[in-house]
Parts: sequence; C-alpha cells; structure tokens
Amino acid sequence: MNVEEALKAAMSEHVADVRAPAMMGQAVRRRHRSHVLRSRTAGAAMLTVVVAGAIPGLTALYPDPAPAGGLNGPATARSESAAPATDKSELAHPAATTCSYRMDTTGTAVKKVGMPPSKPDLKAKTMTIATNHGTIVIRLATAQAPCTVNSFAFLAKKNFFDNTRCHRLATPEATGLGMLQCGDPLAKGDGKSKDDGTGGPGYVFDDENLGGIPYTRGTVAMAQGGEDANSNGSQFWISFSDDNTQLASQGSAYTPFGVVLKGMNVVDKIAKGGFIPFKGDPMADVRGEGSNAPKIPVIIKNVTVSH
Amino acid sequence: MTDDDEAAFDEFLAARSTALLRTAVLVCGASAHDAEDLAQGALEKVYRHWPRIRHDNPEAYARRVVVNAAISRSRRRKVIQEITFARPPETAAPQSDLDLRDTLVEELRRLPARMRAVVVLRYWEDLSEMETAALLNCSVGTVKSQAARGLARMRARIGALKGTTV
Repeated sequence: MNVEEALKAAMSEHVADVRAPAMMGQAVRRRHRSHVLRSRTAGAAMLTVVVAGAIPGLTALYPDPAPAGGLNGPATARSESAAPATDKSELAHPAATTCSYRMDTTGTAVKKVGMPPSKPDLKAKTMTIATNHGTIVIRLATAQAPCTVNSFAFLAKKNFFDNTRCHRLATPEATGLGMLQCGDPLAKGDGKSKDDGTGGPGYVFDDENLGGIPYTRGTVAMAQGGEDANSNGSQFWISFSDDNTQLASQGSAYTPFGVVLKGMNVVDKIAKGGFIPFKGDPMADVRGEGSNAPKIPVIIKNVTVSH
Repeated sequence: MTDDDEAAFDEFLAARSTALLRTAVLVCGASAHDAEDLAQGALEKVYRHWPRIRHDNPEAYARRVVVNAAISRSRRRKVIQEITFARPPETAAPQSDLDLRDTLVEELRRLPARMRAVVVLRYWEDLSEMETAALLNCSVGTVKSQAARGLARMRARIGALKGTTV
C-alpha cells in the first residue's frame, strides 16, 4: 500500500463517526441572527472583527477614552488595584509547587536554551526589562503564576531575550486592543515578516492565574492563540489600554503574571509612535495574517528577574 | 430569503453538512466538537449569501471558507494570532504500539496548517493540484511542494513505526 492510500484510509476512518448534528440548521440561523445584530450594534466592521463572538455591550466597545494614568501620566500603573485581584485569584487557583514544561511539538520556530527547572523559585519579586527606549519594571504575581515566572527567570538567566525585538503593537484606535507584544526570539519586528509572532523557546506550559488580574492598563500577560489554551511559551504582552479587558469576556486564556510598576511611559512612547501595518493592511493583523509592528523599533537589551 | 431559499438551504445542510464537518475535522486537526464551530461559521457565511450562491456550487464555497478559516486561525500566532487547533495529543510521540491509522492521523495533526490543508484537499477530497491551488489561492508549485513534504513526513513516520522505509 502506498502512502497516499494509507493516508486516505486513515483519514476516512478517522472521520467515519463524525456526523453533523441534527440541529445544525438552527444553530447556523441563530448564529446568523447574532451576526447581524453584532454588526449593527458595533456600527463599525472593524470593531466587530476585533470583538467577534463576544459583545459585552457598548461600554466595552467604547470605553472611557482616558484610562487611568493617561498617555503621559505617572509611571506607576495601578499597582493598588491589582493587589486585591491577585489575592482573590490565589484562593481560586492554588498555585502549583512543581511545574511541568512540555516540548513544543507544533513545529514552530524556536530558539532552544533548554527547559526550566520543575521547582519554581517562589521568591521572585520583579522582572526588569531593559529596552532601547528605557527600562520597564514589572511586579510579578509569583504566588499566582509560579510556573510562568519560573519560565521567565530561566529564560532571562539564559539571555534568551537579549537583543530580541518586540514584533507587535496593537492600538485601540486601529484594532480595538492596546498592547505591545514581545518575546518572540526570532522576530524581525518590521511589519513584513509573516513569521513574526510564531517563535518560542521550544517548550510550552499550562495557563495559570486566569481571571486573576484583569487585562487593564499595566497588566503583563502571556501570549497565546485566542482559542488555544495551555500553549504558553516566551511571548508576552504589556497592556496599555483598558480596552483589553474585552479579551477576558471572550474567554481568552492569556496568563496574567504581573503588573508594570515603572516604565509605562516607555510603553506609551512606543504606542504613540504608531505601527507599520502588516503588508499595508492594518486589519491583516486582526485576521491573523501577520503582525503590525511598532514603528519605533523596540529592542529588548536584557531581562532580569530578581527577589 | 424566500421560503424556497430556506427549504433549499435545509436540503443543502442535510446533504452536505456532514461532509463539510469531516473536512473541518481533518483540516484543523481538531476534535469534532472544535471543528463544529468552524463548520458552523462557514455555513453561516453560506447562509448569509445563500440566495446569491445557492445555484453556484455552495459546497465549494463552504469548503473554501472552512479551509481558509482553519489556516488563518492557525496563523493567529499568539494573542489573537495563533490557534494551534492542531495540537498533537499530550502523549509522547513515537509509540510503536500505535497502529498505522493513529500514527498517520497524529502526524497529520502535526503538520503546519497550510500543509495539512493541502494534504487533506489532495488526498482526502481528491482535488487536483490545480483545484487545490485555486482553493488555497496559491500556485500549483506550492501545492506540489507542500504535498510532497507532507507525504514525506508521513512516510518517515510509517518508516519509524515499522523500522523500515515505505
């Protein structure tokens, strides 16, 4: 038997028991009605795309245009408000004491530096990211996200992030989300490279602390596919807009693991610089075809995790 | 949408939605449950344009929507950028007691999304190279090379399973 035939037989057998549900027609029509409703409610196709599937209401679509801190506001970002949230999550999700990291077998491009130790250092307090535009200090939610923090501590020690580029900038005006995304070790950050945002450390680990910190301005969380849980690697994002809270209502599983203590002005400066739309089309990013890169190149010089 | 349109849409679903769902399962390497969402989304698009497309091969349209959605989701790399629908099962890779079918399906899941789409369209849907290229909006050369690479990986897995090359 040749491989084509074997494959065809395997595929046929694999889906032999798959049947469309009897209620498919109803489900499709229901979906159609909600689609029509969404388009009308949102008023703008762009926003519909961004929040597709979950319209928490107009308040989420058109939030307060002046989030706490403001563009040139104080460098400290809502460290007070984060505290109760993280405490609450500790009750909801008791932290793991051993961590497990799995080989990333999805075939994504990786920069390998080994695997983090399975025993997390629970004393880690802050992560400092030195960039070409200044330093960003993050207070870590180590008790709530020990394995995430452990991974960062490990990668930082291996100089994994040194001289990597933040490859993605989303602004609320353009795509409804406000975030700077970094940590892809292979990213070019030029708004042209379609593989930007696909790189990782060669291992993945599970989500932690979901719901523990809202994705408001100042929150730092892990990047992963919206629908794909438990595939954290090295990419992370820094929220600079409360608009991102809508991600939570979509049920997206982005492990929040810290809050910016110092350096939001660095992020704001980068955000203010705008982005290079991927292949000239700002919405290609939302469709998942590529990444809108910050116009001002952002290079991480060094990352340290300290007690 | 007239009553006639509605009735014809129901007929279309009865006849084709299972096939579409199966394609979705294979193309995204997902469970039937996950793939259902994708198929449903595609069918909603079909429904939206039904009066216009009902006489013009709506199945091909639906298939195109499913396949492209699966690929573009897979590219949603991190944060609204990636879905690895196609995550391989948690079990370790090479276990010689897995039978051939499981091995091939598992390897299919591991292929990059576009390569997987090419393999499914060529060897399960039996589309020609040209049809596959048209559906994926790429060149015939790309279809050829992606199909060859996909098959090579399958062969390698079978070889590893049997300790010989196929």
